[in-house]
Amino acid sequence: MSGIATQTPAKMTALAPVWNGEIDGHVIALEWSPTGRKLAAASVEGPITIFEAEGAAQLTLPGHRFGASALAWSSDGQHLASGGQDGKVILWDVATRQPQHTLDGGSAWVEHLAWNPLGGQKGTPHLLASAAGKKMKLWNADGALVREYEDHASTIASIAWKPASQFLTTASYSRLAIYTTALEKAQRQFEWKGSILKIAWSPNGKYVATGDQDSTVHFWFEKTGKDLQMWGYPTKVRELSWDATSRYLATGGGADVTIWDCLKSPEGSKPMTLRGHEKFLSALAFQHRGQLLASAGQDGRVIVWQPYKDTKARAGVAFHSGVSQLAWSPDDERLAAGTESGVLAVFARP
Amino acid sequence: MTETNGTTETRVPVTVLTGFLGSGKTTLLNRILTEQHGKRIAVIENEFGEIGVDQELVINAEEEVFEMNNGCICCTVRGDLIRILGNLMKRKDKFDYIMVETTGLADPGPVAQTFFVDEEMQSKVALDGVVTLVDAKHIWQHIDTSDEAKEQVAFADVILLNKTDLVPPEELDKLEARIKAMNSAARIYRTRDAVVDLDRVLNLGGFNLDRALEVDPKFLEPEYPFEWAGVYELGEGQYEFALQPGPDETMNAALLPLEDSSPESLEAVKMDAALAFSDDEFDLDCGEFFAPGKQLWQLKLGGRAVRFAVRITQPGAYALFTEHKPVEFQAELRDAGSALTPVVQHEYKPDHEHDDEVTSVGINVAGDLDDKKLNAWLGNLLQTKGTDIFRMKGVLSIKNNPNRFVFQGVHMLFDGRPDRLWGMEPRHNSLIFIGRNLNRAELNEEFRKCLA
Repeated sequence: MSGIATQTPAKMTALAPVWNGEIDGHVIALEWSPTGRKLAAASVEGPITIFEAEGAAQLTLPGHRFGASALAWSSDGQHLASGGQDGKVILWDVATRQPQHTLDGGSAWVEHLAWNPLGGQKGTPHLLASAAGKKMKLWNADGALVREYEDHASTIASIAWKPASQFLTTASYSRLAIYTTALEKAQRQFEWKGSILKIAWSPNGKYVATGDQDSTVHFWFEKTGKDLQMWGYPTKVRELSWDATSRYLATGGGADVTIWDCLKSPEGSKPMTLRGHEKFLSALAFQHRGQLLASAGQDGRVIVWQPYKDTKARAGVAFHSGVSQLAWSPDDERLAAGTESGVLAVFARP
Repeated sequence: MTETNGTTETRVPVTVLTGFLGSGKTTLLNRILTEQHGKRIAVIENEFGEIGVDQELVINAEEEVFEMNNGCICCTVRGDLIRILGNLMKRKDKFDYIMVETTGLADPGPVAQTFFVDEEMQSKVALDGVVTLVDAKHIWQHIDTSDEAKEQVAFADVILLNKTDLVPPEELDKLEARIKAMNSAARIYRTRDAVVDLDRVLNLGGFNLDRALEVDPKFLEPEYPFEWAGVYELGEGQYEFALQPGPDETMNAALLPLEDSSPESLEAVKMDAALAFSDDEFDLDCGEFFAPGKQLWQLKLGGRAVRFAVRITQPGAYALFTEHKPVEFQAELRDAGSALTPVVQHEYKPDHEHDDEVTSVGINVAGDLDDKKLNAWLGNLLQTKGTDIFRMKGVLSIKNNPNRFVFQGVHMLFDGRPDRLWGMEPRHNSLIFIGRNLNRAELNEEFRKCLA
C-alpha cells in the first residue's frame, strides 16, 4: 500500500489493502453509499470528503463550522445528510458541492442522523431523523420539517430505526423510547436508571441492545419490555454490532470483543471472547449478510474474525494511530477503516 | 541535573470554577480569555453563562448529572462533559487548558468525579484544580445553611475571596479563618473584581503537592487536641505539677514515657498522645496523683493555685502533653519546689474551635508504607466513608519503591501514580482529607498502622 504506513500484528495474516486516502482530521463518521460506489468520511474538524472509483476520485464538501459529527446516505443513495457542531443538518447536492438544504437541528450540536429503512419502498417517503441535544426532528428529502418531537429530558445519546419499520428509537439518560413518525410523544418507553450510550436493534427486530456508561450491556425484549443486564466490562460500552441472523451480538467496552449468543436468550450464557487488541476497542462491525466481524481499537489495529467458526483472528492490520471508524461495503467485499489522524484505508474481505 | 523517573503528564489540565451566583465567575473567565497569555484555553460554561467573548473556544453546556446504576451517590458524573470533552480531544487543535464553569448551586462532586470515573476522560484530561469564588459580602447568607456553599469551599484547591472592597478587613479575617477551618489545604487569595495572577488559578497541578507546600508550609500540619508538649528527664522520686488560675476551669493533660529525650522520640509518641486525648478523661482534684501513662487526666483548677503529685518509679524521659500552653496557667513541673526546664518542647497547632461539620485532616508521618496494608485501609475507608470524604490528596512513600507515589481523589474515586524519585529527600508521607464529620484520631491511627 502506498502512502500510509501500516504493520501486520504478530501471528496474523495481513489484511489486503485495496486503496487508501486521507482527510484532514480525526475520522468521526464513515459511510458507504447504498451502491458501494461512494465512501463518505467526515472529519471532526468539519469537512466531508467523498471518495469514488476505488479512491481514484475524491471531492471535499465544506461541511460544518466548528466540526462535523454525523453522516447518513438515504437508502436510494440520492441524499447525503450531515450534522455538525454548528447546530445544522445539511442535505448536500453532491454534484455541485453545495448545501441543498441547511436545516436547524434545534441545539448546538447535531450528533445523530438516521434515514428510515423503508424510505423509497412501496411509496414510503424518505425520512431523516436528526438529534441535537434534547431535540429530535424528522425531515423529508426536500428539507421540509415533518415533525418536531417532544423534548427529551436529557441529551439524546443515540437514535436508531427499528429494522424494516417506521419506528424510531432514542436513548437518553434512564430512558429508551420508541416513537412513530406520526406522533410527537413516545409510543412506548423502557426505563432503567442509568446512562445509555448506544442503541443496536437486532436485524429481526426482536431485541434492542444498549451499551451503557456504567460498563454494562442491556438487552430489551421488544415484545415484553423485559430486560437483561450484562456486566463485568472494563469500561463504558459504545461498540455494539449484531450479525445478520440476529444470533450474535458483538460488544466492546474493553480491549476484548465479547460476543453474546442470543439463539435462545443471552441470559445465563457464557459469552465468547476474542482477544487481539492491546487497548480499548473503538468500533465493531459484522458484515451485512456474511459471518465476518471486524473490530478496531485505540491500539491502531483492525482485526477480522469469524466467530461462527473459532476465536482466532483471520487477518489484521495495525495503523500508527488509533482507529475510530469501521464500515463494510454494502456487498460485504470491502472493509473501510478511518483513523484518529485522518487516514482512510479500504481492505478486501479476507 | 535532577533525575526524574516519573510519568510525564500529557493529559490536558482542567480547572473547575465554582461559586455562587454573583461571586464573580464570569468576570474571572472573561479576564482569562481576554488576557494576553499566549495560551489556548477552552471554556465550557454553564447554560446561564454570560461570557462576553465571542469565540469558538467557548462551549455552552447544560449540566447533566448522571447517576451510575449501582446507586452509589459517589458515582454521579456530568454526562455532558464526557461528551463535550471527548469531542474536543479528537480535534487537531490542542488546548493548553480547559476551564469548566459550574452553575452557582452546583455540587462540585459530579464534575470532579467525571475526571476519575470515565476511563476515556482519565486518559486524556486531568483535574488540575477546583477554584472557588466566594462573594465576601454575601457568603454569610449561605455558608451555614447551604450544603452547596460548604461543598464548594471544601472541594476547592484555590479560594478567591472576592469583592473585598465591600467588606471591612476584620470581617475578611473572620471569613478567612472560617474557611481555613473547613478547608485547610486551599490557598486563599483576597481579590477585587476577581483580579488575580493567572498562575494562581491555572496549572495548579492536581498532583503537585510540593507547590501547595510552597505556598503554605503549615497546610499539612495536623491539628491536635493539645497545644504543647515538654520532655523531661525524670529520676525515681516525687515531683509536682503546679498551676495558677488561668483562662479555663480545667485542663487536660497526660504524661507519657519516652524512649529518650530526643525530639524524634517526642514525635514518635505524638499519636499515642492524640489517642489518649481522644479517650475519656479522668477527673483529678488538687493534691491527687497525676500518674504517668496513656491515661488522660482532667485537672480541676477551679480558679485557684493547685498542685498535683507526680510519682516516678521508672526513671527516664517523659513527655508532658497539655491541652493549653503552660504559660497561660504559669504551669510548672517542679522538683523539690524548683521548676524544671524541659529538654525539648513543642507547640502544636490547636484544634480549631468551631462547630463546622466540614473540616480537613492532615497526616504527616515519616517512614515507608506497606502497600498491601495501605490498599486494604484505603479501600475500606473509601468504601465506608467515601460519601463524607470530599477530597483527598497526598504524597506517599511506599516501601521498596524509589519513586514518590502521588494521589488525589474525590469521594470514593482514587487516581494515583508514581512521581519523581525520592533521591536525597527524606522519605515521608503527607496527605490530607477534606470532608464532613471526619474522625481525626482514627484516620491518623489507622494510617500509622499501614507503616511497613
